[in-house]
Amino acid sequence: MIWGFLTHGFRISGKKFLAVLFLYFPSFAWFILFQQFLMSLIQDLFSEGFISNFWMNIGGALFYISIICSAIIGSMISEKLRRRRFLELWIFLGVFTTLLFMVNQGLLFLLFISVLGGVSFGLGFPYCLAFFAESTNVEERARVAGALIFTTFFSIILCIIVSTGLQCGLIEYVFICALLRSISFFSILIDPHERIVCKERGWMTVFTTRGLGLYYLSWLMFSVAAGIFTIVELPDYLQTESISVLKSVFLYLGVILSSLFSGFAADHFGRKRTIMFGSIILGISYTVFSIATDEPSFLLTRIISGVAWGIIFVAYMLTVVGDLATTCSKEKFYAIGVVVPIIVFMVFQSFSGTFTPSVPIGAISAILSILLFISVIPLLYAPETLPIDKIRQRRFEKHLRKLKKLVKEERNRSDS
Amino acid sequence: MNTGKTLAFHSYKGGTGKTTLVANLAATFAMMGMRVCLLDFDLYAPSLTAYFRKTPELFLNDVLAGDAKIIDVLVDVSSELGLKGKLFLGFSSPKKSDIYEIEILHDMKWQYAAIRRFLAAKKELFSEYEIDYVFLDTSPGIRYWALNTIATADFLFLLMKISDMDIIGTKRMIKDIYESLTELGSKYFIILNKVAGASPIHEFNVKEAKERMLWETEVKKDIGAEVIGSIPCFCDIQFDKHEFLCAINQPKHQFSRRLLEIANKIKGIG
Repeated sequence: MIWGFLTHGFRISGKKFLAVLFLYFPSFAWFILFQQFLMSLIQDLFSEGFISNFWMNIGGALFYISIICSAIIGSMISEKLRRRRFLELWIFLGVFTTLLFMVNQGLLFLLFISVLGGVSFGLGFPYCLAFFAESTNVEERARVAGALIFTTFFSIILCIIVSTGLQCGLIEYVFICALLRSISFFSILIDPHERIVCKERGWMTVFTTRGLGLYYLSWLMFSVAAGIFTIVELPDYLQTESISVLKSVFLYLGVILSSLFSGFAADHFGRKRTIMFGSIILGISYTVFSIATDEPSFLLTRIISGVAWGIIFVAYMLTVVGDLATTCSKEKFYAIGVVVPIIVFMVFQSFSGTFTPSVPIGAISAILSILLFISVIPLLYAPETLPIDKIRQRRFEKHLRKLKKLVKEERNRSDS
Repeated sequence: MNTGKTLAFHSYKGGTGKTTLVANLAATFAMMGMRVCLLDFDLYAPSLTAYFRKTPELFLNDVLAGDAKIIDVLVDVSSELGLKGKLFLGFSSPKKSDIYEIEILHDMKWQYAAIRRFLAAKKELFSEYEIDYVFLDTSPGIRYWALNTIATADFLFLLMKISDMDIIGTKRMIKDIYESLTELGSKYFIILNKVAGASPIHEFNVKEAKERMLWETEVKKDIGAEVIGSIPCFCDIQFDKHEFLCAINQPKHQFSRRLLEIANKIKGIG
C-alpha cells in the first residue's frame, strides 16, 4: 500500500523503471553483502583478534581502493564502449567473482577476490547511477531513488533472513549472492541501454559545476562523522555474536523506513532541506547512543541511524548529483560525487579498528556534533537542485487540494 | 433555507473591465428585484470603495481576521440607488498596511482559518439574510485569494478581451484551475468584454451583432468553454473618468442592454 501510494503518478514508464531498478538494486545489495561476507571469511582465518583485524582491513582496503580506481576508469570507458556489452561484462564479472569464493578460501586468494570484487562493483556502478539519472526527470527523481533504495535494502534483509533461516553454508550463501547479482541481466533484456549522443565532458566540468563542491564538502564531513563513530568503543553488553547481525538488520530497517518518505520529501520540499533533516537525524542517533544503556536502546539508535542514512542515500547519493550533472558524462559526476566519498568513509572505517584505539562515546560526542553541525553549513550556501518552479507548483497544487477539501466539507455540512 | 448562488468574476489579467462589469451586473440583478450582495475580493488592489465612493469603517479584511461579522461590514445602497431589490456591498480595505498584511504577513494557518471564516460568512448571508446572489469581484490571475474566492463559487465567469495574451492565459487557467474546480460541482463560463469591431457606434453599425456572434463562436471553439455573452467596446464607458452604474443610470445604453441579456442567461443557468 505504501509502495503504491508513493510510486503513484510516476512519469517514468514501467519498463524504464524496471530497467533502472533491476540494474541498481542487485548491484548495490550485492556490494553490501559481498563485503560483509568477504570480511567475515578473512576474519575467520585467524583466531587472534589483532591479526584478524589487520588482514580484514588489508582486504577491505584492497576492495575499496580497487573500487575507487575502477570507478574512475569505468566512468571514462563506459562512455566510449557499447553500453550493453559493457554491462554484460560487468554483471558477468560480478557473478563470476562471487562464485570464486567456492574455489579457495585461503588468505592470498581472498585478497585477490577483494581486488576483483572491487573492480566488479566500481567499474559499472557510476554508469548504473548515470542510467538512473538519465531515465528520470527532476521532479520525480528523488521518489524513484527512494524506491530503488527501498528495494535494495529490502532485498538485503530478505537475503539475510533466507540465509540465516535456512542456516546456509558457504556454497548456498555464494549462490544467493550470485543469483542476486545476476538479476541485473534483466535490465539488459528490458532496455536497450543506448548511449545518448552528445559531447563528452571532461573531469574539469565535474569540478567546476556550481554548487556541487558544496554538496561534496557536506557529504565528506557527514562521512567523516560517520567514520569517527565506527571507532567508538562498544559497551560490554553489545559484544555478543547475535548483536553484530542485529545491528546491521536494524540499520537496514531504518533505511527501508525512511527511503520512500525521504524521496517524497526531497521531491516536494527540496533536496537541501531533506539532506539537512538527515544530518539532524544522524546527530540525534549519536546522542541517543551516548545515553543508551541496554540492547534495545542500542538497536533503537541503529534504526535512527538507518533513517538518516536512508535520507542521505536517496537525497544525496542518487538525487542531487543526478540533478547537477550535465546531460553527458553523468558517470563522471557520480564517480566523484558518490562513489569516492563513500569509499573515503569506508577506508576510514576499515583502518580504524586496527590503527586507532576505540574510545568511549562521551569523549567524541562533542566532535561528532560539531562535525554534523559544520556539515550543514555548506548546504546553506548550496543551490537547491529541485527547481523552484516545481516547488511552487507543488505548493500550489497542495493549496488547491486543501481548498477543495475545505469547500467540500463546508458544502457537506450545509447539505446535512 | 435559502439556496442562493455564488458567482465569481475572474480574469487572467487586469484591465478586462471586471469591476465595472460586476458592479453593473450586480446592480442589474438588484434592479430586477433580487437580493444581491457584492463583495470586493480583489484584496490586493481594492477598487469598489473608489467606484462607489464609500468610506466604510469595517472591511472584509476584518471578517477574514475574525474581528467582525459579515453583517457589520455590509453597506446597503438599495434605497439611495432606488433599486427594486436589495444591493449590499462588502468592501475590502484599500489601506497599504492591510494589503501588505493579506499578501505577505500571514502564515498558511491564518489563511486557512480566514477561508473558513469566509465560508461561514457566506453561509450566513444565504441563510439569515436571504441573499439570492453573492457576487465576488476577484483579483485577476492566479493569486492566493483569487483561488480562494473562485473555489467557493457555484458559477465562475471568466472575463476576457479578444487578444492573444488573454486567450492563451485563459486557456491555461481553465486547464490548471477551472477544470480542477469543477470537481466541486461548479461551472465556468466565458464573458467576452470590450469586443473590438463590434461597437455599435451608431445605429447604422448593422454588423455589430454578427461580429459579436462571430467572436463568441471563435472563442468557444478555441478555448473549449461556453461563452455566455459578449459586450462590445464602449469608449464612453471605458474612458469615462468615473463610470458609475450605467446599467441603472442609462438603462437604454447598449452596454446596459447587453448586461441585461447576460443577467437573464445567468438566471437561467442558476
